[in-house]
Amino acid sequence: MIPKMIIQDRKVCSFLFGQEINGETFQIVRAFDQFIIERYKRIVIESVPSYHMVTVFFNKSIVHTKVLQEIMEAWSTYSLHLQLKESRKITIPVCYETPFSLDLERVATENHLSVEKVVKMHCESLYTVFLIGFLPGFPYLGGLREEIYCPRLDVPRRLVEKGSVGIGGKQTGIYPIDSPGGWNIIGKTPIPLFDLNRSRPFLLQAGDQLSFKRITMEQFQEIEYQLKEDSNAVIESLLGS
Amino acid sequence: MKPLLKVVRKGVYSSLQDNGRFGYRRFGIPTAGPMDPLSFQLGNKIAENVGENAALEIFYGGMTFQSVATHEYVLVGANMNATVNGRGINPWKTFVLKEGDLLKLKFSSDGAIAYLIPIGGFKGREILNSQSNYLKANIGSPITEGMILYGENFPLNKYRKGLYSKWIPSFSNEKAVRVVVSHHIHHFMEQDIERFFSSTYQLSTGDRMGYYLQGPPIQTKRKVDLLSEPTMFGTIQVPSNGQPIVLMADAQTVGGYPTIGKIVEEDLWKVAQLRIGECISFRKETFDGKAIND
Repeated sequence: MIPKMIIQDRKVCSFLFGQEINGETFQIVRAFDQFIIERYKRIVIESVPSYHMVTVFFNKSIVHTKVLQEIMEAWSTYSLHLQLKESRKITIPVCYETPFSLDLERVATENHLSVEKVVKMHCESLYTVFLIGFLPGFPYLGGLREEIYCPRLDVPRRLVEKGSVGIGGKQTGIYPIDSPGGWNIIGKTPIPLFDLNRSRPFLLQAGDQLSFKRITMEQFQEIEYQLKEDSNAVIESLLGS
Repeated sequence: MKPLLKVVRKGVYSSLQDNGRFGYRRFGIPTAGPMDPLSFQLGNKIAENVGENAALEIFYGGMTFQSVATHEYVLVGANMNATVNGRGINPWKTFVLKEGDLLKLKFSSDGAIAYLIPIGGFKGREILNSQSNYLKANIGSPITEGMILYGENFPLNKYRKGLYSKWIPSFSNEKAVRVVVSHHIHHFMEQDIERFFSSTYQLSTGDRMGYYLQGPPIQTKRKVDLLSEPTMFGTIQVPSNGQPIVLMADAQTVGGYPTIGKIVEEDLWKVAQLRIGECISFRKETFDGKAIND
């Protein structure tokens, strides 16, 4: 698929592959991102994949040059023999109990469901990390069951604690750092998504497949203890590496 | 590492910045780096610094430092009416501080941001391959009173170095910057787009994340619901109140508001140096007259 090229500045170009959230479009986005990183290291500073677009930051001007034309030609061959790297599958433990589940009742009432059912539905889905942004390491997740969509809070909280798992409209996500936020908080994970003291500061990347596993308060505290002992080991075991 | 300066008064806001942090936008970490890349680069040229060097980026002034070792510096960017032990010094020209000397920055009279650059640069902790502070993610330490700033051991130059006065940028009022039109442009009312490119906008408030402008509102034709997409230093977002926000060096890496365009890299320094209440206007950039983006 040949993208629409959007020149943002002399050294920045976005490649647009569609207009909506769509699994197929996102696979092309992932492939194009992989293609740029593999083939154009020499002239690319970085590339940012998102739902329907890959934005590439070049280290030199691409205006009035043949660079974009060459990229398009190379892409049309590359995309024919595409071997997409397999998605990582990561299971995030979440405790849906008080005091973490601040808005779980609200999500249940809003959707005429029991609290139990909301938790079950949240845990049963497989989610895709479409995009990381808004906050360092914040994943925009797709795949939330329609039955548990819930509008954002009318007044955002001044402080949502890091690790909080929330539902904002049609999306669900995890707060990587303490931040103001308007999403409905339904639980909390003990696993930090972003930690500069780890050998892998960022747990997630675009393209990952995510699921949530329900844990008790005791298990939450047990994982917190393990993290204190050796956070790298906990992260490696989550990533299955 | 050599201790250089003690912060006696921390002023309005300052942070340590090098060229920026590259390669982490895909993880939601902005590039950071200097708000006024032109002054930052010229300052490092005067100091003959090579490679990755950190400067202290200072908003509006009001800072006092005490020197704890003899070292040579240059102060560039907005004019801070600086003094050493009460005597005025020339910006854009290197000067020497001896142990015990007091360097005072008053409030800026031309421009908003200055860079204090030691020969050899400041030395901060390198995190994700950069010394640039990004305090929202606890990257780097905030500048506090009593804090010591470190640098490298460099001998003093025999002669002081400076910039030809004709090369010193001017930060005076009423600036025009070039804008590459966004692919969201068709969402906005045509007469509002025209007005955007023919009016002036005033800076109402701002920080390293974004500058909030005020002027004729730009409205979308109907309510738009866009997928979040990458944003960058220079992107002009238009929230539903129609008042543009220019995203600056610490801006979030993705956004969901419609954008009207992006200010070209070469003109970002002009925006950064706006003082609250000052005005700016926008011109369409067509890249040497050749139409792009349809």
